[in-house]
Amino acid sequence: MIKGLIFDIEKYAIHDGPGIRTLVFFKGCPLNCLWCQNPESINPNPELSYKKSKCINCSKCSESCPEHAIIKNPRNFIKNKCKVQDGCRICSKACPSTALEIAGQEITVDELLTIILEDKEYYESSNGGVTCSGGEPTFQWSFVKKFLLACKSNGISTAIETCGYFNPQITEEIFEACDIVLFDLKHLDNKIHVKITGRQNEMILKNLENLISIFKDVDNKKIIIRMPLVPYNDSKQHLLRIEEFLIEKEIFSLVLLPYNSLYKQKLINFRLKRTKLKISSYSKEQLETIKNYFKNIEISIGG
Amino acid sequence: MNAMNTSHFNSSENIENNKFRYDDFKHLREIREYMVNDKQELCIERSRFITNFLKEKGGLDYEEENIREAECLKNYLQKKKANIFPHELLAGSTTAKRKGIVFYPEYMGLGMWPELATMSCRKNNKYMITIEDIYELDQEILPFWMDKNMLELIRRKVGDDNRGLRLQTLMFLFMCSKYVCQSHTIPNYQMVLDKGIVGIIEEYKERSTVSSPEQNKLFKSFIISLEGIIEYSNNLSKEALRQASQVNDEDRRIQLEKMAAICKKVPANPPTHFWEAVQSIWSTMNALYQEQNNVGFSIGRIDQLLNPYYQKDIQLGLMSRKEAFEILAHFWLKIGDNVPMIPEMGELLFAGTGSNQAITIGGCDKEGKNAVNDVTYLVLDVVELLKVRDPNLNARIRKDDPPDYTRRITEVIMNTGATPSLISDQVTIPALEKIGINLEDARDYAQVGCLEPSSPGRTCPHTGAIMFNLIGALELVLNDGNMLKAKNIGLKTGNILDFETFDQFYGAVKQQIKFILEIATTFNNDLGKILKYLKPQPLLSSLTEGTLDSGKGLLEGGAKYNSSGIAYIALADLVDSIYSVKKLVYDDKIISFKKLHDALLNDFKENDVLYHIIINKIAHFGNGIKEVDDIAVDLINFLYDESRRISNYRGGYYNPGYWSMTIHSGFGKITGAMPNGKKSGEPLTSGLTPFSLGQKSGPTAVYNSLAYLPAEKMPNGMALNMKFNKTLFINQDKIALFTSLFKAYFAKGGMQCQFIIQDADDLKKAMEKPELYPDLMVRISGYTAYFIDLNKHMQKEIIERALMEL
Ligand code: SF4
Ligand code: SF4
Repeated sequence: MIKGLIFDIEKYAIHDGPGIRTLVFFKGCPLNCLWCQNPESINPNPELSYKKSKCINCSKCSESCPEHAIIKNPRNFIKNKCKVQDGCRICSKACPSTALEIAGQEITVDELLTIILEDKEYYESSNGGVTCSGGEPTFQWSFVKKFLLACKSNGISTAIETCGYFNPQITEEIFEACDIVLFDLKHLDNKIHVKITGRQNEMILKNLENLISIFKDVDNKKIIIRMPLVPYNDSKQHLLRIEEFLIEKEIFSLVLLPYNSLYKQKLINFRLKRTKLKISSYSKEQLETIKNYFKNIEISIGG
Repeated sequence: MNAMNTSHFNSSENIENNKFRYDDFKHLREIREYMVNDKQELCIERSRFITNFLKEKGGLDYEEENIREAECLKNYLQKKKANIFPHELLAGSTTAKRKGIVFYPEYMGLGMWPELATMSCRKNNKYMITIEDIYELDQEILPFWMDKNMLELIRRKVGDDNRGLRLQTLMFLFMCSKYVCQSHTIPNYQMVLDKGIVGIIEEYKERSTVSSPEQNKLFKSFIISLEGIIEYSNNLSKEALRQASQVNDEDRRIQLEKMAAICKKVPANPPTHFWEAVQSIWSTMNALYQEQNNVGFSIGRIDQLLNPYYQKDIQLGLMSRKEAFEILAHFWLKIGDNVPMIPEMGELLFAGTGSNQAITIGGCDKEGKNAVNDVTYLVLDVVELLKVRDPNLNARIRKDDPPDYTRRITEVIMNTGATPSLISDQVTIPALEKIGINLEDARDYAQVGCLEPSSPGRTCPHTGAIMFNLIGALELVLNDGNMLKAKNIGLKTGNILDFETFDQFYGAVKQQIKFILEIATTFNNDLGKILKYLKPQPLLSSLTEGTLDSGKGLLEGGAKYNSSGIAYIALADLVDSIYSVKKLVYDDKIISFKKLHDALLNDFKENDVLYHIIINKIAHFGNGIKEVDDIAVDLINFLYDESRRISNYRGGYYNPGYWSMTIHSGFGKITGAMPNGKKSGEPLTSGLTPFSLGQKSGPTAVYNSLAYLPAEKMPNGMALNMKFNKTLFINQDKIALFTSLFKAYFAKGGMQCQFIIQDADDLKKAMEKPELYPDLMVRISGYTAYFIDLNKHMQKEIIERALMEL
């Protein structure tokens, strides 16, 4: 049976898409954005997470690890001995404090659906539903597609959050499986795009164009364009280009997702080595100024 | 302002967008400041007059008890100070003070004796009192009641060795509230409005011609006490005229003359206008509160009571919506003019308690049609502006509610941060039918006290009769009949190490509960019998449907419906603890019962790992996990069957409910560590709110667990506190999602819910600098309290209660 690899489920999400939603976070992403807010989502394999502040130094993890990959506590972790990628979960089960957790849980469509259905009444009373996030949900498309179609046949509205980097052949299937696509643009300039995400933007823009054309004027279907706001793409000049680009596609609204630095703790928990950006969060005034650059499309600040 | 004569009525007035502010009224802000900020003064006027009367007549043996009480009450009502305070639109007050504490020496008044000199300087809830009054209480009043109060009378009746009395005095396992009050009920204000006091007297007179001599005596006592109201009201009228003759301000003079006319007319006669209707209820309340202590003396469905008068005045152009708003706002503030008296010791348990006078809005009519009306919205507007603790507003929620109604409720919750609390018709009406209330009467239900549904004006529900500490029962089982702080008080259910199966353990818990329940209800019934003699309540009896036909007083079972309420406290802790023992000891065999018990006795001090396993790895109630929630269902069914099996002294039965005011904190203090991870002395869970440390799955999971419970087995109500961070609701769309959330909960079968909308930061700041936050309201298990009135313990609990984050 096909399984998905997820790293979190968030219920009562009221700030991602319409209504009350359940968010499912899928592991694995083809992009590698410098400011990634969920850095644990990029690697398509399970990973160990260690929250030092929660650790009670009981050594249950090291006592239980058959591979001796942990010595005393996870501060001393020998990565190449660890079998987490082969499905080992022993230490996280043994950890009483939840200091040690594993991001990346295999789940079947039926199991996931059962969890989603628990909150069906809340989706219905609020016009909400389920949202697949990540990571990049199209990265595990055969699972995600099955799951979303199962949601739909149970009367639940569906959405995905995508970076747009997917095989163009699945565009039709996305249309079929999703009522809402939240599409994240990063940069219009290919060179900069490569620099800040690690990938070219050509396919992303093409996919966007295709999605817009098939979603256009279809009842109960919607594309929402979003853009993470970071120092690399927040120049007036670039933002005006974005506006022009969207108008050309007859899209008249944009959601800006201002950068925040909350992900830095995650980098520590997962022992991930990434360049730490030396930028601070946007102030209210800065956001106001940026909003005012746009004259012809409606801007909302989300995230 | 003159509410009846001048008209600002404008037919295009848009009710939705017509919110009023303080600046729209000359004196509203000032009156509110007075009621919220001013000192509470102990008032001994009532005590003085009833003591003198009884002294003169030779004590409690004077006449038959109903007649004695009626004459005593009437005598006082004749002499009661007729107060009309500056700028107020309603005449009369509960005490002789503007904001007072009524002293009831026959109830717990004696308990204040040792504190008379210190109560004006205690830390929370200071009571002001003059030296002269202390002297009078000390020398004249209290000595007279030494052998005539509830406590002394019950001691004489049952003897000092009585198990119920001993447990009651300990206050570890249960508390019977009859020492303090029996007033958890709703008088029949509809009857007062429809017939007037004179009309009611006529009915009793008429019936007297065809009744037995005993019944005649009873009806005579009713009539005497009802006459007292009329005399009191006449005095109010005179006072209004007196003030009118002395006042310089022309507007106020007209107002006072109008008030004099109103008090002359009502409550003796049926009102014609809105203002009259409100005054009629208020004057009647003033009188009722002299008969017995006001704790949870509730007002009922104010929007249904007042709407006919509102509609008429508006349609005839006799009153504007603004004028109605002002009258209602004054009424709202006046309701809080009295505070229950709580001795310092009780402060620990009942900290921050107002008098819990519940008011209910919304719902349906007798035919089941939605009954939201213009006064419903008026009430919401008043509450939104005033933000006061009492009265305690409850909104009934139905599937067929107009969207405007639920939207306004959400807005008011957001703006007050606490009120109203919500109750669902879908499950409450069937729950009441199940205990024998007919459909029409069940549809008319209103909340009593904190949140106990009751059919108003025709029930003697004493919904707060017994507070029962469920986790105390568990502690008794864990220690074979002992509590850590009191030995040999429970049933010896055996050494836990001898329980070979989970079922044996679980069976022992149920046995222990039954044992205590038997003692508590027997004791409560004994108290009831004393009450019949000491406080038979002819006035309240005369204002309750059923007594006319049955010819019996309220305490003899004369009301149309009779019941007593039990509030079971800490069900969530009990469910979690039972499940935890099941998993740890019996199913997964992670630890022996001995080791678990040792860890509990040691308050987890040397067993951090076990503590963390319990908190993180053992499921808790409130996460939508069937296996755990099923234990809750089983216990609720069990407690329903056991409670309903026992009859009370009035021929009714005991109804189970799940709410705790602030008592869960006090009960938590005296209990040790528990298998669910509660540490020694920490508060228990409040109402049916899940254990905060065990909540891992967000608000929808909490709602799912709660909606899974059999509401029809909780006829005495339940409380769920949901705390939301204000920052969640950043715009109108998100606020609408708040409405969707509670609607879905109720559609799934949830019964009740109340909210705290606060930033944790706000509360922390309030704890540090209370003087800056006199208005900060929080909701605790069914009632609203000012945060600064709570003791530190409770303040901390509120702050720590898990924030429901996105
Ligand atoms: S996942 Fe398995 S191998 Fe890796 S540290 Fe944990 S117990 Fe050891
Ligand atoms: S088991 Fe958990 S709490 Fe114990 S040392 Fe390991 S990480 Fe820390």
